Amino acid sequence: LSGAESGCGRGVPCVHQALSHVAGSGWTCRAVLGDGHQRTVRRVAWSPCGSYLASASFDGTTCVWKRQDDGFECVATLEGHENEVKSVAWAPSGSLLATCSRDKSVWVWEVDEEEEYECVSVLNAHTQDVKHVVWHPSQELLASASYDDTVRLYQEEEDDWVCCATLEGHESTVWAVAFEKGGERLASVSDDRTLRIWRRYNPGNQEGVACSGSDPTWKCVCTLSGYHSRTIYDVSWCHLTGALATACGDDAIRVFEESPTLTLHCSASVLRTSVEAEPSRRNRPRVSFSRHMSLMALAVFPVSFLE
Amino acid sequence: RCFTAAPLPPASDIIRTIRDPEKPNTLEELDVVTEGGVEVQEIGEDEYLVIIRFTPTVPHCSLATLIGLCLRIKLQRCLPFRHKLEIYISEGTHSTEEDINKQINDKERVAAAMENPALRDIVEQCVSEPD
Repeated sequence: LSGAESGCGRGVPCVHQALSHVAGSGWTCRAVLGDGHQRTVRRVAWSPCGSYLASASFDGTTCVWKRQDDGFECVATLEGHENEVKSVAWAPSGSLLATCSRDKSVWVWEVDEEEEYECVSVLNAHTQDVKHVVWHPSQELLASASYDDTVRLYQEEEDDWVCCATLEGHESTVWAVAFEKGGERLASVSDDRTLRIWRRYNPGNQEGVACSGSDPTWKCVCTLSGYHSRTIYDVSWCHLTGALATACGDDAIRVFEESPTLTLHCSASVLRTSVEAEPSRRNRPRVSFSRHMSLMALAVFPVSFLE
Repeated sequence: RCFTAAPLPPASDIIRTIRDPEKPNTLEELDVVTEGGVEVQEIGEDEYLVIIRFTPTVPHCSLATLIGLCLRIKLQRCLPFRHKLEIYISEGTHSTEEDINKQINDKERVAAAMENPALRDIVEQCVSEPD
């Protein structure tokens, strides 16, 4: 494989073009944005319109890059966090951006028609390092996951961003959260090796869950333990199929599906070299539902395998 | 299953020569790490879980964290087999042991800390092989 120069910049020979012909994958390295950050780049996120890319770095800054004909230009550098920025996320509207940091804060930024970015809120609700921020799929509701073992939710109330809910239950760092397509449920994963599902209950709900005033309440409706043998670092909720996928420190990816009778089971677990779905030896897998569930199905299903 | 004998290269050999950040002694000389504080469990084919429990010489929090960091870095680099690593302060030896244990087992925090040049220099000095 010759090191074919392909204009990636930085004088780094790009072998990707050569490799793509060999592998048949058709991917080309279009740009290397090497001068934007001085330390590890931890997260990247495309804007909903696809024209912008945000990058969050351990150097404490978040860069916004605009796609041009011949590459990307850095159009903004968002500064303010005191130390490593761990996550960045665009709101569905594309006019809001959220960042979070080891400095315990979550920042909300607004971008106007002139591509000017302004910090509109600094939220200090968490008491420790904030690992992940994610927006609700359709509303301007923000969720954050933290080293303080909680998930917090934020929204704008009377021109001010406030923390409107705190989800407690995890027994260690929450590494990631994901909203279900409809936005009524949220999944969280943690260093405590559990995957939890939380549901929003609006005021006047028929399940009889108490709400304070006009604010919805979030309750943990399902906890999956014993499936993961080490820290769970990421979760993704498929908006098409409803399936949940987790990324775990035990080198496995697990896919969870919900059956029509409101039970959750682990349908596949793909390990590094073999397809195995054996749950952790340490604990029997348990699926527990809160009393707020109208169906009290409690079972551990035998695991089935993907072909 | 707990392996303490050959043919596994003892993890304790790798860590006994780590130098204390403050004193001119090794962690073994100071009884910060002992053979009994090293546990190795088989968790898969050719993969092992290594658990280290250490006792810091002083209750100073940042020093304990630093020792934990040195242990992690040395083992990550030198263990010749595939492994997962857990490092803990021995129970009851420190007032903020839960806080310290959480930090030294958070891989993102460890990675970020090792990007700090001053901290990295200290760790490198502590883990480098004696001449």
